[in-house]
Amino acid sequence: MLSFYDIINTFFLIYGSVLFLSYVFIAIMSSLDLSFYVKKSKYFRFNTIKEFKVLPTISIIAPAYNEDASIIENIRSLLSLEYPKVEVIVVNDGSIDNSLQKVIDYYDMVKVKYAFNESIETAPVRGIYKSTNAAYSNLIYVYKENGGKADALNVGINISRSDLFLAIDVDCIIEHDAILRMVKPFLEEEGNRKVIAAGGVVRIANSCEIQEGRITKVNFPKNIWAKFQVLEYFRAFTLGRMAWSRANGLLIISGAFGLFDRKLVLAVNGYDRTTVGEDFELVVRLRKYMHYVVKQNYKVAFIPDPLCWTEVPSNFKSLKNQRNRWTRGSIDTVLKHKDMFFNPKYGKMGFLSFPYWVLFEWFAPLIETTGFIYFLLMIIFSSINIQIFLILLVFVFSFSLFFSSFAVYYETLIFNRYKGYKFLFSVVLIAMAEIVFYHPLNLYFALLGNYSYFIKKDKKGWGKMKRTAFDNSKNVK
Amino acid sequence: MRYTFLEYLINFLLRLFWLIIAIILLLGFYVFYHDETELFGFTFINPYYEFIREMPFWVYIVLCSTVFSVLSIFVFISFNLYYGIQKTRVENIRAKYYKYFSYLLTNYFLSDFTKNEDFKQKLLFKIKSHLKTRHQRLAFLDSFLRIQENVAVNLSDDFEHLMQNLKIQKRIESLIYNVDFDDKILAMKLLSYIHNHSSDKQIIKYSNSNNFALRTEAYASLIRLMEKDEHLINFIGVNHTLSILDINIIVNAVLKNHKMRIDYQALLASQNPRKIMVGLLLAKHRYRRGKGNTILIINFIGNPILEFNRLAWDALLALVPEEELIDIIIDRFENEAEDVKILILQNFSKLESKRFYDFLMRIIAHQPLFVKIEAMKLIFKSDFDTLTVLDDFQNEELKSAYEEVSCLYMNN
Repeated sequence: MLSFYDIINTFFLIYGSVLFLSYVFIAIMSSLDLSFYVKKSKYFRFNTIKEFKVLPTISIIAPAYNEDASIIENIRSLLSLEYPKVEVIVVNDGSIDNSLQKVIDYYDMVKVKYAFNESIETAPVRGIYKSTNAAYSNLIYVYKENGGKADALNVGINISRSDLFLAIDVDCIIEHDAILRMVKPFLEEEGNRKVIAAGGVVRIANSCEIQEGRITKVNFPKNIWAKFQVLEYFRAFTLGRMAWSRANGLLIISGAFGLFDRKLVLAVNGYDRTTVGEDFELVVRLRKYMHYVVKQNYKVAFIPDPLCWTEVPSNFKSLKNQRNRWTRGSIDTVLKHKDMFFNPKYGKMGFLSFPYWVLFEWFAPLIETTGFIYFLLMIIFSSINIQIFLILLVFVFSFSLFFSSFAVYYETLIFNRYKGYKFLFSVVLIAMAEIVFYHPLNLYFALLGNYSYFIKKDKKGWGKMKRTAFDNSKNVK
Repeated sequence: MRYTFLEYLINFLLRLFWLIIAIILLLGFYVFYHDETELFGFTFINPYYEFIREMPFWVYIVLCSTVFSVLSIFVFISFNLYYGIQKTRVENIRAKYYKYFSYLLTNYFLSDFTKNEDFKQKLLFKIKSHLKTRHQRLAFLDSFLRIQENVAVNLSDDFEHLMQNLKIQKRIESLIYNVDFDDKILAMKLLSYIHNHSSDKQIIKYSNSNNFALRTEAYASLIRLMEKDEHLINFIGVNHTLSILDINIIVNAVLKNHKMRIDYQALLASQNPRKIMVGLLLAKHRYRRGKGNTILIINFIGNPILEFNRLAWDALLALVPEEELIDIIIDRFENEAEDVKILILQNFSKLESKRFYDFLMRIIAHQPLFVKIEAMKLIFKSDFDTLTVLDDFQNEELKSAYEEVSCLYMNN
């Protein structure tokens, strides 16, 4: 008969094995899909999309809160995105700075009575502004009472009259052809398989050189926290999301950059204002809706091109707040849709991607911490087989390095945005330091997130991240 | 065929190499788990057997995975270093040669100055000396494609002549049989632009491929290659549903092809809904205004499939003079979807008949908000004074629509 220790040991062994095997699966799937994507896009001229006769109209919805320092440049950057049928809706979420007046003055905006259906309930809109300058005729600036990012996005969705909408963070830097690339999966819809949303790769803009709202040179960040996150984003976007997209199991599209079918989002009543993981929650709800109500084949697409550049937390406190929020958002979404867990009604999503998220994203830090405590107890009771322990320890370290090196390799092979020996040398060092330094911290942040959610009952707090606005002059050497 | 053979040989050797690596790894896994292994007459004695023998099998698997991971780290770091340098070098070469060839080819194709035979010979020499490597050749071909895709002029004869002189035609023809489908796409584009029919069968085969990227390019290439557009119906979407991307690419290729003999009847009578969409789009852009033969399109007005209905209205609004459309609009408007109603009103430019004005006023009273707005815009464009007629509102929606239209018009 199995002893208590045997049961615990076997549990950890099986859990760990499945986790590592899933990484191998992710590596294989993503490499296949990346290779296909690169080949199919090599001779496709994305600018020819502009000449297409049947194209969906798109609204770019950018919520902004106290973006006084950079709002003019950010709007200019959004207006310069290439797409023939696009409107830009910037939603000022009750900012208390001078951004409203700045935009009015710079873009010759006047308050207009712009009709829209309040299909999704939101905080009151105080005013809608349009420019008297014909050059900005596709710009709509909305001033509303503060209600959070999800609420601001919902206002944008209500106001939009387009087929699709691109939800972005106003302070992100978007590649000029990003929309042309993002819309392609919607045009590639085959048969009865509807594309309901598309996500793109988000890359880290810290230390990059920026001119007139464009990334002119990609640099590996100087800040240590940002360095860790570069590696993390490589794995998450280049490998993880690509693989899940191929398996049609992608559950999250980054809130910083995602293209959605507007009518479908309206049908599910927009973003959930009660959670901080509104991006994750929306995708799950959309998928659920397609499964349960529409009952049609669908796909959540993913574009591996780096199309959106964002500033990431560059100090301990901001990072802690961000990760805490991400964890709370995940837990909230998982609990809201717990009926999907291993539910055959939801097909692959119910059996594969959703349980994976629960077991290996939410539970992983908890199980890892439990394992660590268990390990300490075993040391105290002298029940450790040192030889096996060392073998497992070396395996975990080497596998983590292998997975990171694989992600970096694919990044170089396909995009080659970070160049030179220095980058490679730094990234190898960072990958090693990550295991002993950054990973435990992430674990700590995730535990704090669980603590905040369950014990402090903090479900909606956003925390604060101090951003250094993308001031062009500062970033150009 | 020499190039194709070489390509396949390299590909085969590469696969063989990875297969050998996999076999070595599996062999390693096997021999290190046993005390002694005899293979092809050689006896391998495992020096670590004593260490491994005492391990449970799962620990041995973990140990092997560790060795594999460590080796992989070195492999990927080395690859990274190699490909990083190589990719940067290739990007630089491609960019440099792309600029160089674009300059030379633009002169060659589009400047009268280069019609001089002496100049042509010099130019040929300049190009020829830079076509030694694959990257140089691809940069050259890509430069031509970009020029051809950006200008309306047909450069095929000049380019074919150039290729004959440069003796690279065979290489292009061989690209279509390459293992990598990006090379096949490039070859199809080039061959179709120069109207080279040597690989038509292969392109037709690709038009039925399960790879949608290859298939889409095959459709466009066949359109460029065919003598008459009336054959279009025979090869598009035969075994696969056409995507919106396919439809757009097909329509653009036909429009750029400048051939006028499109068999609209066959397209519009097709059982395949996506072919009907192609037909409706081509009808909009290719029918001559006032030709009168719009009956085929009118058949799709009111079609329960929204896409057909929308495209049919779009074509009709582009082809038929507005005054002739008023009756159809008044007759059918009520039954249309909101999107279509908006489309109709957005495409109407002027308001001349009293009947149509009354009809718009009815719309303003009863239709959904965004239809009201479009109807108001149409009225205001023609007769600003009617604003006063609409100035007294009980209905919130009407008020909201009025405010938007009047506000936007006054501010602009």
